Amino acid sequence: MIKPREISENAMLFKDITQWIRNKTFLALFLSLLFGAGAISFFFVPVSGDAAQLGVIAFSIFTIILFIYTLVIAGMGFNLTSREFANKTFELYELSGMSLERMILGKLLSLLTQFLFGYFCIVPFMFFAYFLGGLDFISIFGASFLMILFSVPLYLFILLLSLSSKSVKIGLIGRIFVGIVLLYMGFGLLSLIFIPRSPLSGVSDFIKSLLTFDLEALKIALVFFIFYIQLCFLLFYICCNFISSTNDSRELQIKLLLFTLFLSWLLVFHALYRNAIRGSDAEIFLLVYIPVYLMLFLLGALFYYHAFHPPLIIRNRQKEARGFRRFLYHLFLPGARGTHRLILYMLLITALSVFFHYVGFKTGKNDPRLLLHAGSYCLQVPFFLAVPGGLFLCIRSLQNSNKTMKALVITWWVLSGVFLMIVYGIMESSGYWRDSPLSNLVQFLSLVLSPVSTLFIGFERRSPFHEIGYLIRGGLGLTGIVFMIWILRRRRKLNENLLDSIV
Amino acid sequence: MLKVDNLTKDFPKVRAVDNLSFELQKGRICGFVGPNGAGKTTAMRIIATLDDPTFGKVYVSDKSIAERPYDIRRIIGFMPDHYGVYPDLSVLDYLEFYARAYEIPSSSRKRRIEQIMNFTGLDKIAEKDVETLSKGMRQRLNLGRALINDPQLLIMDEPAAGLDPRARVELRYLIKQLAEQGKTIFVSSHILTELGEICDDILIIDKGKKVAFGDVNEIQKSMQKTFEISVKLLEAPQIQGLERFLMERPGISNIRIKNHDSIIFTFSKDIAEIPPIMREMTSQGFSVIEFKPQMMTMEDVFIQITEGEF
Ligand SMILES: Nc1ncnc2c1ncn2[C@@H]1O[C@H](COP(=O)(O)OP(=O)(O)OP(=O)(O)O)[C@@H](O)[C@H]1O
Ligand SMILES: [Mg+2]
Repeated sequence: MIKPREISENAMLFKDITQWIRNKTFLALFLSLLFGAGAISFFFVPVSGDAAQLGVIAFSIFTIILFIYTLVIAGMGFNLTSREFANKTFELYELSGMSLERMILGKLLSLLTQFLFGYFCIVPFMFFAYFLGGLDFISIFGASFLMILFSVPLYLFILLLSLSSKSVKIGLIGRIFVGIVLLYMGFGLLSLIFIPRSPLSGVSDFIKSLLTFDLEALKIALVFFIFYIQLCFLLFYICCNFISSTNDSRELQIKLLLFTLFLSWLLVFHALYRNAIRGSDAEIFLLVYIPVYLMLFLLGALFYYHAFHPPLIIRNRQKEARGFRRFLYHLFLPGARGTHRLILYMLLITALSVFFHYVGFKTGKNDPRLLLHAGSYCLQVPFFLAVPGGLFLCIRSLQNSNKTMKALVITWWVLSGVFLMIVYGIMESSGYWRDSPLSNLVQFLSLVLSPVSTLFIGFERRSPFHEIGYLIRGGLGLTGIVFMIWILRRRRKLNENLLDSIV
Repeated sequence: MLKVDNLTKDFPKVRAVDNLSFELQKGRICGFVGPNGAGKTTAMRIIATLDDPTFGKVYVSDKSIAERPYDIRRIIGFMPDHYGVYPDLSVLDYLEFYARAYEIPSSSRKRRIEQIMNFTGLDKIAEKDVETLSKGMRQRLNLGRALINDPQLLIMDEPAAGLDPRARVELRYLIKQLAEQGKTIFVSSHILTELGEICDDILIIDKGKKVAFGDVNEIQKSMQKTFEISVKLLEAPQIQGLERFLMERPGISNIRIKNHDSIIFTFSKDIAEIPPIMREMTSQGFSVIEFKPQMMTMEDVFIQITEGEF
């Protein structure tokens, strides 16, 4: 675990905080934050109308101020880190022997410190809102706690984005993307506060039942934390991995976390299904298997289009690992072979889970095809990984430039998917094309070309492929597995003579 | 101190380093010279554990970079050809940050930073923003960072690039002082003369391949044996005959005909061997009207070796 000394001595934390304090933007921001909150609480709030709602209004305004502050910190963090990354500054940090974990931990702690600083400036005002009435103490407490809770994954996500590209152009796209996501989240937060009987009161009810040790509430909190912690760690290690993808990696940790996330997701669902969901709308299965589908793609995008052998450091760590670590390395083998293996394991487990539900269905009243429909998405993943991207990996020069490969494949998935969806949308909206052979062709292509469009078309109940979609997907999936095995063989041959000469 | 064995690095389109092998002894300064794109940066980054080699092995203090990269990072200093970005950070904070990054205990950190600042002359600008420093000052800071862990091996990638003559002299002085402290220094440049005076060894590469390696004086001596001789004939038709005559001699290479009546060739033997050649030419009936031997400098040899690259 982390020792306090390690945090106080963390070089990255020291640097980022020093830069933050010396930054003039921050100073201006901080002062305006305090003045804003002060001005609102002394001038605006007392003179506005409805006395019972006064506290709520004041509270919302402070929340918005805090939210803006959070965003500005995120933006400043993104700016600094993406600049450092694009200018190879992280290499110099690596040279010092600082571990990747320490760098990310330092960055995260610095962002959290900055956030908490603003937070503690604002929180007194929030409790001031309490005295204005209209709010209960637990709501305020719950809302402030939730903000802290969500700031961790938010800042990790920001770090991840800032480390995801060395090119300024993609960095710009990332920035726009971040902006959109954050605005979206902002609206969500606002609606949370402004809509009467909002989830906020739900939160306060939930906290109340937690405080009375209500078993259901405790269970939900436990499940939430299981996923919360795994997700935070996953984001954390993906960040570490992004810093240094050519001479070091955190492949083992990411694969392990993805796998446990995958397992706990299925297990939790199985547990919940037994009690609550049986007999309800079977499209709940989409909710279960689409995250699995996404996890498989994440694994593929991170480690399938990657160098065949992991970096030297990792190979040596693997060689020196003993005991449980050795076992972990065996199970979540870094490198292309391990990725293949893990994808196949995960598919097998998904198939088992589908089978389990299918057996349970005999007694239920729903159409079991909906289950197969949802489960078959996951089976199709090997096909999308292998065709066409995986086949390119068999060409030596393309294999060596796997960053380009990765970018190409992801662009292909997104562009072809979006293109097909638009074409299909146009055809459907014009009566002439609907149900024409051409429309059928577009639907078929959507099914086989891109993981984005296949999801979309899967939801289209009117499509002629809707009924047999799972059969097509299953067939493609099996073909994909055969392809993947062939590709693996070919890549191994291409890389055969490389390994022995180095270590 | 540093041992490189058959180091090879492939990029998608080029082989940047090709079977490079050499060994450096402790306390010596080795110049690493080659034209642009020769593979100097690539080789240095691999030695500094920043990139993986495609083939080959590298040992620093008998530790393999493949097996003990983290140990090696603690005993080397690498000064790359870029600085990184550090907005809103002062020189002092910058050094403090790297001292923490290298896990120098807090008790000795302050003293270490002072030493570094005194040595590199940064003490006068301790409070200045790193981003506002001049090129020369930045290079000093870069050196200071590389020295903060008191490395045994210092790798410098084109440290003199972009410096004015005065700063170059100062840099050379600092390098010399570091070598006197017992540090091994591996320093690259694409200009040979820039390093000639301070180096003990020299390693020349071109297109990733080793061209020459060894003690600078010995290489110089062997190069001093190299002359470029130009001969002019009165009767131009004899030129082919002279070319054939030269081709049969030992120690003669790189024969070129110029302006139909002149011939230039490289002669790599002792100076005492020149008069006999001249005598033989005239006795064979060649109408020599000009015979001009010229001793080649190291720079000339270097340019000749890496011809066409500039
Ligand atoms: N990351 C890379 N990807 C692809 N090719 C590269 C990469 N880095 C270097 N190269 C190529 O490797 C060769 C050697 O480059 P390198 O930078 O090592 O040369 P250099 O000797 O340092 O040159 P310079 O004097 O210009 O600094 C060049 O042909 C270069 O194009
Ligand atoms: Mg270079």
